[in-house]
Amino acid sequence: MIRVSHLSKSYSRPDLILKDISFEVKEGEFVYLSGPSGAGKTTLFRLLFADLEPDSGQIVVDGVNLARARPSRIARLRRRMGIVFQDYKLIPYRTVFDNVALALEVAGTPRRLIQKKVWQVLKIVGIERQIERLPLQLSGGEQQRVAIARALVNDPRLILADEPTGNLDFEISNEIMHIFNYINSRGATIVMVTHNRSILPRFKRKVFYLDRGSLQAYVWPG
Amino acid sequence: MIGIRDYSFSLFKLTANNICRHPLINLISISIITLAMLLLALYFLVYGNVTRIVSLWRADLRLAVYLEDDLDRARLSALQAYCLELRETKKVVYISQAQALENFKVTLGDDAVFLEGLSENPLPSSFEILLDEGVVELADVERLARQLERQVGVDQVEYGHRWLMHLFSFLKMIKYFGYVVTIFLSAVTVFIVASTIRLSLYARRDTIRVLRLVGATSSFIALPYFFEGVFQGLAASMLALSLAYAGFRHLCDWLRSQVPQWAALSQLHFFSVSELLFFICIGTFLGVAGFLLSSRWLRLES
Repeated sequence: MIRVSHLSKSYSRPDLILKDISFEVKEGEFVYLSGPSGAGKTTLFRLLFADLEPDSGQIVVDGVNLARARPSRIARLRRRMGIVFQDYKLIPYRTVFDNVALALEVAGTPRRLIQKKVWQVLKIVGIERQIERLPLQLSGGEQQRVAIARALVNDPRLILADEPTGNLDFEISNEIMHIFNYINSRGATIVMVTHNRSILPRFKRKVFYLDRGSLQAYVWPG
Repeated sequence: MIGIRDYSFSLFKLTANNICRHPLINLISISIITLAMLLLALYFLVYGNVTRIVSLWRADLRLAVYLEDDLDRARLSALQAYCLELRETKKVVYISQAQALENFKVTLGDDAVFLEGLSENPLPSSFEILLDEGVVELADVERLARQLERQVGVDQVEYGHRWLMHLFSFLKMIKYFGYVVTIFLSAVTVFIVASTIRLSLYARRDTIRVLRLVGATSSFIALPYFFEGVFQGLAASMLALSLAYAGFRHLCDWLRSQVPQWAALSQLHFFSVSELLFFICIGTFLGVAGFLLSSRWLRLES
């Protein structure tokens, strides 16, 4: 699903954030991308959906070589993936329904289908009762569920999540992790960035550990 | 599967959202563009009507080529042929001494009795040259007059020099003034639309980022702003035309009450349907130009 080869990124600084990194994520896998603060996790995460361009190396996601793809191809690829952020990135003046529906609207999905799919996905994340609310009327955990619902609504083959439990307490984090496990059990590949070391032993998966620009892979507890 | 209808509906929703979320910015923008378009409309109205009235006067524009006395028939024919061959000439009419005297009598009316005491006809024979519509430059008329004066048998050429000079210089001035006004107001309109859209883009940069993340294409993101530019240009030009029409009707009514006998009144016209459509197209085009100017910024933001 994801193949990264000899990837480097520096942000115009002499010391590289990412140095000659290579790894692969197979279809249906659920992997963590972990490491200390400032290790380059978010940079690597953004490179995976072409939000940044690498200095060198190659990234192939779902058969698309990001360096060579035209913007319209990148846009189509993003419709096949779901992206979740720590700060949710919801549009404050759109309701829960409209925020989730946005991912379908950009793809030109028929309105009847949008109604049905948004309702279904909100039910999966357990927030269907808040459908007419605005994001700022919801708690942090609820907003993250909306963000996850938006990422899921297109039935993506790949989900990228950057610290999705970063702002949430233990209980809510557990609930969010169970949602991701459920999505993974239905066949979606998941790459989750986290520096929360308490999650890793509770939900054991392959871990890509990023430190000082280099990457190591292991399965917790090693 | 991309449905055009649903895609269009989403675009319409985003456009309406852009406009409705920033009503004040759009209102100010439309007001200023309306003012600029109104000034343009007023200029075109004045220019169109003045040109129409002047073209009526212009139909009477003619040169009087006075001939020397006792010209033989061969020289007269040669001169007439020469006048007819000139590029600027539309029609040449020969007026004999006797005809000139008859015309003068008609002009004098009851006072023509004074002419009966004359022992001989003092008026010269002449050619009256009606000028082609293409002759609009004073320099052309002057050159033509000099050219004719040099001909053997021509005594004098008259062409109402001062009147012509004023007419042509006024038309030229109004035309060049129009160019400057049009360019200036168009630039102002484009700048205002571009600034409004840039403000809107800045205010919605987070939304644009989210749109990109969920897989919106650049055209899907840019099209609502394109339509916003079209909307501003269209609304402003229609509003400006409505105001111009109201002002024009008011002016015509006032003129009818003040100078009911003025012949030019019947020549005052508002824009024709095709001119109205053209003006609306110009307004829309300026809106689109404003969008294109701001879309550079949209690309930079991406």
